Amino acid sequence: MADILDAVFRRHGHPTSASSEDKSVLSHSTTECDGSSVVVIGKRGVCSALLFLTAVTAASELGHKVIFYTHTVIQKFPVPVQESMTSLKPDSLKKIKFVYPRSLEELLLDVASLHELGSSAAAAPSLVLVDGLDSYLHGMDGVGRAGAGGPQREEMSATAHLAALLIDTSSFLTRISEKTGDSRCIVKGPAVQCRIIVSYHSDWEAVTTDPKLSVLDRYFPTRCTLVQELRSMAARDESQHEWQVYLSGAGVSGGTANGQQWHLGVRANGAMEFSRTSKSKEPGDSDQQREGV
Amino acid sequence: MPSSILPFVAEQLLTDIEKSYKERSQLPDDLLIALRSVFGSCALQALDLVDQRSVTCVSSPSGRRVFRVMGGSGQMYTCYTSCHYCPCPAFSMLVLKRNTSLLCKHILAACLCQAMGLSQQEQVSDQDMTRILAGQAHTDL
Amino acid sequence: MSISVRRKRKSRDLRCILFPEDVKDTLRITSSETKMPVSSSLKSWQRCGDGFLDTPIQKKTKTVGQKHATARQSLLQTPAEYREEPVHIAWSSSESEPSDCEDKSPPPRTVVTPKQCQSQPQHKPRLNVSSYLQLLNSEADELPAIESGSDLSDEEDEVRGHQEKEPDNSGAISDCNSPEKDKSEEKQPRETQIVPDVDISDYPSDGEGSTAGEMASSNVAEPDPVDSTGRRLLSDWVRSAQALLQTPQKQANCQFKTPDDSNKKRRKFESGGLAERLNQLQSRQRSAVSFWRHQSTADSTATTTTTAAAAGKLGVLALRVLHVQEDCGLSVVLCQRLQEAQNPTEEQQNPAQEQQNPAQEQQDEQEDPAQEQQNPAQEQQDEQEDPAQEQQDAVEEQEVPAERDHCLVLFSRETVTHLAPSPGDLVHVHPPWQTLVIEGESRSVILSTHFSQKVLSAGRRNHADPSPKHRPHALRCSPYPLNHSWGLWLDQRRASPAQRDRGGSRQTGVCERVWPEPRGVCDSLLEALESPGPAGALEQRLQVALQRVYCLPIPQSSALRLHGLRRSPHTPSPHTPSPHTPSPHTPSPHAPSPRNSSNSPGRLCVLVQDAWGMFSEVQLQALVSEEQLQHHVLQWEGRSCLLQGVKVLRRVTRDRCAPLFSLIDSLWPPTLPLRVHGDAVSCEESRTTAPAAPSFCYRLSGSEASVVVSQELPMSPLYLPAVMQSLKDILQGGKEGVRCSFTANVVFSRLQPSGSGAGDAESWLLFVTDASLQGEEEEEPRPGCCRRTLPVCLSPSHVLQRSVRQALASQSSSSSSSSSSSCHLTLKDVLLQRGCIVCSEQSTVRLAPASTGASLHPDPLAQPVLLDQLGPDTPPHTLCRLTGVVVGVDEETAYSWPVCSRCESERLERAPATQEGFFCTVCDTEVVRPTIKMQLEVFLSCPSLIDCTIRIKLQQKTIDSVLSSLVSDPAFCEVESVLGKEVGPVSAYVRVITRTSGLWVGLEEISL
Repeated sequence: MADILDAVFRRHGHPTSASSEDKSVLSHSTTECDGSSVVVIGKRGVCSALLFLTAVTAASELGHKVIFYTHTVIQKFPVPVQESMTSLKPDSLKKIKFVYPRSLEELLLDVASLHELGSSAAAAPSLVLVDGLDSYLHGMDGVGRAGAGGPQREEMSATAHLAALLIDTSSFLTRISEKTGDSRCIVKGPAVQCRIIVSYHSDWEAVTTDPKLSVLDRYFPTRCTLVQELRSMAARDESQHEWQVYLSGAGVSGGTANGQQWHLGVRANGAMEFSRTSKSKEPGDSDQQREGV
Repeated sequence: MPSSILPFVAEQLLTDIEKSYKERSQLPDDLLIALRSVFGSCALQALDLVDQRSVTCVSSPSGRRVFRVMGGSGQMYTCYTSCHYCPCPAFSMLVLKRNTSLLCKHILAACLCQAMGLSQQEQVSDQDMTRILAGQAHTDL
Repeated sequence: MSISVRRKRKSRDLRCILFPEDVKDTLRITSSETKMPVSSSLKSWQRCGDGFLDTPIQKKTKTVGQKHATARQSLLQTPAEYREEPVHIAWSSSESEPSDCEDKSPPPRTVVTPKQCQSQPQHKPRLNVSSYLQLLNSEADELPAIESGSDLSDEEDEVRGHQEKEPDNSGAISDCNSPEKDKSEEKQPRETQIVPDVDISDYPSDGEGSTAGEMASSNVAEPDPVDSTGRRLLSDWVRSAQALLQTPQKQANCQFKTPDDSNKKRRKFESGGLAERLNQLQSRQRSAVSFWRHQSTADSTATTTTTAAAAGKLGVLALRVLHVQEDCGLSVVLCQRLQEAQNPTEEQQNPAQEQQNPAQEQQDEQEDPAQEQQNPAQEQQDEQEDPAQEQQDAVEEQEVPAERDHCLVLFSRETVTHLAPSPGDLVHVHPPWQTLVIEGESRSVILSTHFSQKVLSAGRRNHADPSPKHRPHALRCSPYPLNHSWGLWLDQRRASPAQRDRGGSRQTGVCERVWPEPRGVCDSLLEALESPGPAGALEQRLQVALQRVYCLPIPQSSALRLHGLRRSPHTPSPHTPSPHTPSPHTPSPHAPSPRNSSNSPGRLCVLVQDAWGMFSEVQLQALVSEEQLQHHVLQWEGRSCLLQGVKVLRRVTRDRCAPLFSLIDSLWPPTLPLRVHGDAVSCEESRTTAPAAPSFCYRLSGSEASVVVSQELPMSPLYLPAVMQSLKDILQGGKEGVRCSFTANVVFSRLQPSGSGAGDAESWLLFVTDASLQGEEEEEPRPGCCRRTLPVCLSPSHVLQRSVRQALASQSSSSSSSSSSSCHLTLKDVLLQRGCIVCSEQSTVRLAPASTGASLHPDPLAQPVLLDQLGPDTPPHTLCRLTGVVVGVDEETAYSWPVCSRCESERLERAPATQEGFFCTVCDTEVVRPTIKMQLEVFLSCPSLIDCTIRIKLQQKTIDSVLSSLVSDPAFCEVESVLGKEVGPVSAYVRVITRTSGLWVGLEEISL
């Protein structure tokens, strides 16, 4: 969901930016991004960090109940989050539920079982994050889809299954929360929507050729791409990485450029800082590659 | 790349079908032909599935619903209600990979049955529903 | 399966289905005579027909599995009739309606059947294997099956397991008046057809090819021309085969419903279900499209005015292509709807405009990139105005469209392949098409645009047919997002803000306004029959080719005759006409008095054929005059027409109405490959062998307005005109019962006395000849060659046209005169039976047009007509020439009577005044010396006939010559004085020949 990301970006914006007006900024997220599902693409580390940050931010400040699926058990909070955690309320972290499915089947079962919680509205999550989709979708064998068309088709089918399940679950949960009429979060939108953010770790060169991503694009209309800036990779030392963050897709109405662009700076201590870049900058190659898909 | 307008056409057509069926309990020929036009060759097969009443709307106490379509060979396909997905190979080949078809016949059959009210109903437990949703209901749940 | 022979996939499958374990076991049990192993039975099948009686059952089943390459090929082109039409078209099983069928109406057990087969050993065992296959599959295809042709090309097909359904009549043709046994027989074949239905080869996945669809019907083997002698046997054979297949069929079905075999199955749709309906609609549409395409390619050779004229017709959309994009397998073309057809001819007329056109085309193409980028914006915004378009429109002044509305036209892949639209093209979409209005979207969407064609302008003639390479590559749309569902909403709609409100109305295209019925035009009679309207009338309009126009007699009761339906061309008039005027004339004693029951020309009747090869005879209104008939013949014959408002009278079969079917046979095989169900490709292939002619057809009745000639086509491509032959060719090459047509001169005509109690029906016997028969100069009888004249019998069932009757009458009445009022006739579709031509109901006899200048062959009557010499093998009722010597006189029949010397009338009265003279009441004169007419029959002895009694009734002239030498009153001459006189050569009509004791020939002298 791009609006949450947008909110996250703004929340963790550059100190010089208008972060003081965070509350009002956060409350309005419908200006440019809607509540559609987002797939975050980028390198593993930064993606996970972003997702985690989003989870934390959403849980603590945006009032979401978050479920976080990831492959590896999070022992500790990623470094980038720690910096930001000072402003977080500690008990808000309880709103995040971490689930560690080890395989695709488990992930499917876990997501599928969300509806069982749904009977009690209090337990229904309003933000579902899945980190590292690719790790689940890799090497899937014996998922039960053997057939003609080759492994690629199976992969695509599995990807689609997972994506569709997530979407279906989110719409179900949205319905549930609508029925209960429970205002889950501070954001008083027209509908309390259960949002999904998934992350797909890949190098941005492989973005265009990966068929799974094309499938994901069909289910997740918004894409957030993190591209590491070359100059940060080459010249700079490892202390600070610069990333270009592109928001694109149907869920983003970005005017002529068809995308938003943010700049992410990861400081040496791991803190993440977002700053909006000017629109004059051309969208990165990833966007255009996406067009060509 | 221009965006597709066919989904809107299809949706309108399904709405018309629903309306027409509600009024007259049958589909006029022109709607059938329009189905064929828009959906291509899976229209005929989907109608066949509809004729055989192969679509079941499975629901669980939690309120979750899902469609299960019995394919021709007896295999069950699970389709979701809020998005388009079908585990059949035709879906992944034609819709996902090649994008030469709007839907596969199971999804279309489910849409039609839903529009015309011809789907059967079934109740399962929450746990069973979980397994169905996860695509791991191998037994005939 | 124990069958080990490895054949191609399809045959194996077929065999698998047809020979499940149970069937074979039962076969082996029941065939007691020889238990041949499978392979040897297969080999023995090679000798078609041998050993048929030995193992009838085994042979049948094995032969079904056999495939001929030619058979397959032949059926590749003609599965249409086997798919949609019931068995009766394909084969003669309908003939086997006789009572045998009723005996077998409860399906006989397999045990019984072989005995029945073997109980007819006297029949020549002509194994028409192919017909059996044909039968099976024709019956099989009676119920709609999954259309494999186009489906497979699109996506992998999941073939269902075979389901066994109780056969019902919904899928079959419901005969209106057919006897019950028809139905029972139809039921029988329908039950059995399920088995071969299921056979079809594996459905390839991933669009492997549409050949499977062709193979589906390809296991119908080559239909041999059905031998009439073998027909009855075959029908019995088929019935027994049907019975066989019935019993094990149920068991066979069960084992096919396993998921493993799902790929090999081909099932029928549920009868009455939506899929079946769509299948029928689809197949109809497909055939209509292929037929329409054929017509339009034929049209394309014609001038552009035809297409331009078509554009102006109601219902035809004229569109200008603006932008093409490919979307989910369809082509979505943004078009501008033109109110007035953009005629290429208009462009021709305006050379200035023509120069503008290329500029415009370039403009179109240049604007495309601009439009590409604008399209997403456009579609989001429901706004089609863009400056480029406006500019373009300003330039194109000649369009002057009343409204500029854009529409999105969806073309299927197949249509796009044919059409190859590129921006700037002008496309005509012929009805039926459909419009879908999406609420919230200002552009309407046009669907099912199968009848689309590109209109080529003169400026574009130089372009070759646009090949896909040169076509600007259509843009592919981005795949649509799957995270929404359309119809699967459950108690909620999509809450996405991008959603538009739905609920727009749906309407069909203009075609609804064009025709009153909601349905359009149907091109298959059988399809139309399946859904009859009220009172048995066909709801739909039928597109047919009008093959023949003729006249049927209207049986009239005497009451009608009295009420003035009788025309009066033949009422006696008091003046003596000259033989040359066609005005009504007094019938002379020798001319026949018209006692025809109906002098009206009869009922107009047309024989039509639909694109599927199905014939039907449509009886229309009663004709008022002969000219009407001629008019209709000229207007209608050969044209492509629409039948509307016709009712089904009855269904006739071959054995009940043989004359009609002889006409149908003459129109078979059709010029075009008939509708092929679903395989447009195979339409183009040439057929090596033709299927058998239909064995049934329908009689419809209509009214004057029932036939609407289609304006577009001058001639239907199916039209088979009657081929005029020379008489010699007919006699030498003609088979029995074959229809032929020719032009000939009438040499002699004679009114046959009507049969006993046949009422007033008159029948004429004509003798015709033409140059081919007269051409030879030899005098001696030529053995084995045709006779000089050909007898033509105008049967009472044939409506004799007034003009012809007049001509015949005038010719016969002018026999005494030497003028040659030669009656030159054109006979069309007459039957050749036993060396005699019979004009029956469907024949047309017309006065041939007056000699076409320097005619192709000189008028044979310019010379004296040559006749055959009387010989020992002269058949009766023929003409001959003979010379002989009087050897006897039949005194009993000799008499004389006076006639008026002036007017030759016989109404003489004794003049009251004088005793010698007579008074002619006709001409009111005194006849002093009346002419004496005599009738004399003499016995001749001919040199050409020995030991033969020849008795000839002489004409007046010959009598005069014979008696001329006598001095005394001819009325009282002695017999002896006549003996020995030579008579001849005279022309005579052989009235009777008896061969009881010696040859006895009775002749009647004629004058030609």
